[in-house]
Amino acid sequence: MRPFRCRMRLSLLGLGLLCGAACNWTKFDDQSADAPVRSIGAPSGFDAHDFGKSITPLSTGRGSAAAFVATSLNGTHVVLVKLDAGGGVKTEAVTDSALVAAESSTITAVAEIPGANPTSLLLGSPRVRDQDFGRVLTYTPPDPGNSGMDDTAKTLLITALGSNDSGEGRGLAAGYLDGVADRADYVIGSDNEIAVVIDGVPASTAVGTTTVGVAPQACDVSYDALQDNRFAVRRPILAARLWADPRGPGVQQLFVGAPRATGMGTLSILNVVDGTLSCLASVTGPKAEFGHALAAGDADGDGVNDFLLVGAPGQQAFVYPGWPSLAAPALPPALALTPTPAGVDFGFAVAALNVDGLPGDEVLVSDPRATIGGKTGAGHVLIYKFDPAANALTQVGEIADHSPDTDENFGYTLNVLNFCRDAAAVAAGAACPPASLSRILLVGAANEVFVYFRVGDNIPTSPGQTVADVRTP
Amino acid sequence: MGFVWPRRGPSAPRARRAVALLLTVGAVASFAPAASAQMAPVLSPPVANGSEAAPDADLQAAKAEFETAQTLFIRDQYDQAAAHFLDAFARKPFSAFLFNAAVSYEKAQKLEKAAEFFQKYLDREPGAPDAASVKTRIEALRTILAPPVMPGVPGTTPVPVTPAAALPAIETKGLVVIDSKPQGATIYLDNKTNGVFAKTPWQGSLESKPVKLILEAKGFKPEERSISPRSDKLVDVYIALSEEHFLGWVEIVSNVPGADVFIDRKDIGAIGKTPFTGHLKPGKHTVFLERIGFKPVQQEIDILPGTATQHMIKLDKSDNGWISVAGRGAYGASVSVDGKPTCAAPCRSEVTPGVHRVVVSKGGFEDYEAELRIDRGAETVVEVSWSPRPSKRTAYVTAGVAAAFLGGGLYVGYLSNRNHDGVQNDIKAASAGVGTMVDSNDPRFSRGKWEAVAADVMFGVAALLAVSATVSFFAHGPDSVAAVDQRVIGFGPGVTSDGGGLVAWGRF
Repeated sequence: MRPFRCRMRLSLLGLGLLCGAACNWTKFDDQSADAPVRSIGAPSGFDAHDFGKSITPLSTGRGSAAAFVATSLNGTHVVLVKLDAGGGVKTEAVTDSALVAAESSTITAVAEIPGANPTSLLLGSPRVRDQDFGRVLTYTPPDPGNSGMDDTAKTLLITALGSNDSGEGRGLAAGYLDGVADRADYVIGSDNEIAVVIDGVPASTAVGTTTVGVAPQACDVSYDALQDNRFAVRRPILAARLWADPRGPGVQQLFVGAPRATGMGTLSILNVVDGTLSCLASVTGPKAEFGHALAAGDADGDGVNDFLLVGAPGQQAFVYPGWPSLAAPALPPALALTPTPAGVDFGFAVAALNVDGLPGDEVLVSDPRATIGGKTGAGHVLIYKFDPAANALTQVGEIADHSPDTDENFGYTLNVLNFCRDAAAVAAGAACPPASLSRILLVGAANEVFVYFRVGDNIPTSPGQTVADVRTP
Repeated sequence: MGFVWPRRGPSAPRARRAVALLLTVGAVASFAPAASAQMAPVLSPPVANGSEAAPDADLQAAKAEFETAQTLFIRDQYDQAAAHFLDAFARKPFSAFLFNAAVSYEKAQKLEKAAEFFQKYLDREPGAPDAASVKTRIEALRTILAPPVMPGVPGTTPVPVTPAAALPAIETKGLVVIDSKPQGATIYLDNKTNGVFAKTPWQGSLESKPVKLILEAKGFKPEERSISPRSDKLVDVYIALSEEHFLGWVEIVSNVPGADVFIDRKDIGAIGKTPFTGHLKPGKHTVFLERIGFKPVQQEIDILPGTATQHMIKLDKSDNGWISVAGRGAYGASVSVDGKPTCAAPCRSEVTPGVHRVVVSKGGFEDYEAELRIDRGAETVVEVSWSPRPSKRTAYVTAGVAAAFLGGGLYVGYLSNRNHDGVQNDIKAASAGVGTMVDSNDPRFSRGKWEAVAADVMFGVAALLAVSATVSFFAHGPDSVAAVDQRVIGFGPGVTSDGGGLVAWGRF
């Protein structure tokens, strides 16, 4: 009996010692959840090669702190990704039956239809059934209060573009272009044309509400199809307000980039006046890829966009500052950004976001094919500080994956996402109080989306400064 | 050892030595059967100095020449006889040989030589008892050889004289050689009252009649021997005297036959059982008697040289009992009673009557443990059937593997913690604006997590193996068992129809 007791004691002692030495593996889950950057991989069923290549941030979280839509460049995959206040991620894949009208075509362009409570999206399929015609759909995701696709409005047919105008829906934008903010206006780009749908009315027959701005006007908005082979991305169309429109502060302008496979790319500035799409200005860039990416930013932090950011993946990006002070809608002198050392596709994506917490947005320019840490094609994002007074740009930082992989293509897309920390407002579906609203950075890669909770509005990141997290109440 | 243990067969040298101690007188008379029958054979010298008496080659050769000469003399071949007597003298310069040679020459009518050797005899032994008669005989011989010339009668020839007619009859001499060990012993003839005859070594002639030799030396036992000298014999007597401090004969008996007998020391074991007989060196000795069921006895005895003594030692019945561990396989086992080591098996331990906890242990086997009741005067015999103890090799191997898993777990756990700390440091650094921010998909999370899981699995496996090893270390096979037998043996006086005596009884 004594030996048995002895064995039991020794065994229990050994077990106790070993249990005491055991490792807690769950701490890594906690640590991962608290990481300042949330990496989101492709959800089940999504094409595993381009989850981060087509990202559209939504203006509200639709029941969450933030939300964005990801589509595939290679298949009919649409995913609604929602972030909760703590940074948790929830993905909602749109079923095939909901996208039956897409006819198994890729949806390369997405635009949120603005409004007091925006719920619907524009989906662009530039090649339906692999044919030379496209289609634009309206889609209402299955958010609370909605019940899926509005079948009656799911197809927006732009007959005025002409049956031979291929690539309809390659570029999409939505905003208020006609000076009336009650109903959104749609901008639809095809391979060769730009169409504007005023007040969101399907314009199959309403020619008066559809304006087509094409040559022989001064703005050449034709799209070089060869760009598909190189970048396979949506056509850059930016609806933003950069100068004061006499019709009021809500009227926006259109900026359309037209990069080229050969020759020099162009940037066209258009406007809608009295229902007519007009070409205000057009500039030919120094690079073939000029106009590949567009963004507008606020350099002085007064809440008004005052510079235009144009990416030219041929190793350059350009900043056009000082728009509010312009008397006429003409492009101001540009500040060129050239990385040192030279990148690969510097200027592939651009964004304007307040990174350092000081007034004014910084300029973010990505090079998704840059070699980082010895990994070719890993990609990174460079941050430049724009000093309006000195009218100068200074590189102040770099963003990259901490553990880059070859051909990760970090920075394939750059987007700014609204993040609402007010959980009560989010739960009630109310507008987020301005004090609780932050703008955070979304960086898309080849198969991953990085959410930077510590890079955004009022989040100091300069060395020596205290850093807060947007998830911190 | 001052005694002779009869149970052990003495070695050959020791046997010779023992016989030599008993009889040390010898005589050589191979040419005289009668004398040979009377004279004991020559024995070895005494054992006192441990040496053998080496045969005297010259004496033997002289004796052979003497015998040859006597034979020739009897056959009237006197010249040859004289030559052999002289050869014998050449071997051993005994004067008797010269005398005999002279007699032989006289018989051979070689009177000059006869006279010459008679004279040599006298020269070597002028005080011989027969010196006067020999001298007379020499003169008679010379007279015969050179008769006086008659005056005035030149050229007369002396009348030859026949020696036989002119000389009395004469015979050759016998020879007696007496030697002893040690030499220098006093020789008496027939009776010590006759006075000292000579000292050894001695050689000479004695009258042809039986005579008793008595030899004495200080520190040695006196010896006697009878011899029969004759004129035609050479009698060689060699006596090895025995030292006076010789062994004593002892007989030890007890009221309990079969008791173990120890002399002076017990660590070399018993030398016999009662009744015991044997030789002991003179002096005081301690006798131990032990017998199961009886109290051990110790007694002092005094041994006198050359004596035979009997010692009766009484054994009293013991008040205790005994535990005896015996049987095949008992060798190498250790016995403990009531937790105290007592002896190494096979052995017997004396314990007080009552219940005792007995543990018998042997390497490689399970212990035998039992509580045995020991009765007074009883011997409890334990014969253990050993049960092999399971090998600890498996336990060691298991412990080694457990240690390897534990070490692996610690190392992998260290790697896991290093990942965790590294990520945490990077997060803190990035918070301060240094370095690249860590994302939730950093490979260190999954790596660290799986390392932690692996470490925990290793810890778990190590724990299970450690438990298994612990159990194995303390595992034991079936207990060793034993056949326990209690024997009661008693002795005492008894009377039967055949008479009285010692009665033994027992319970087996």
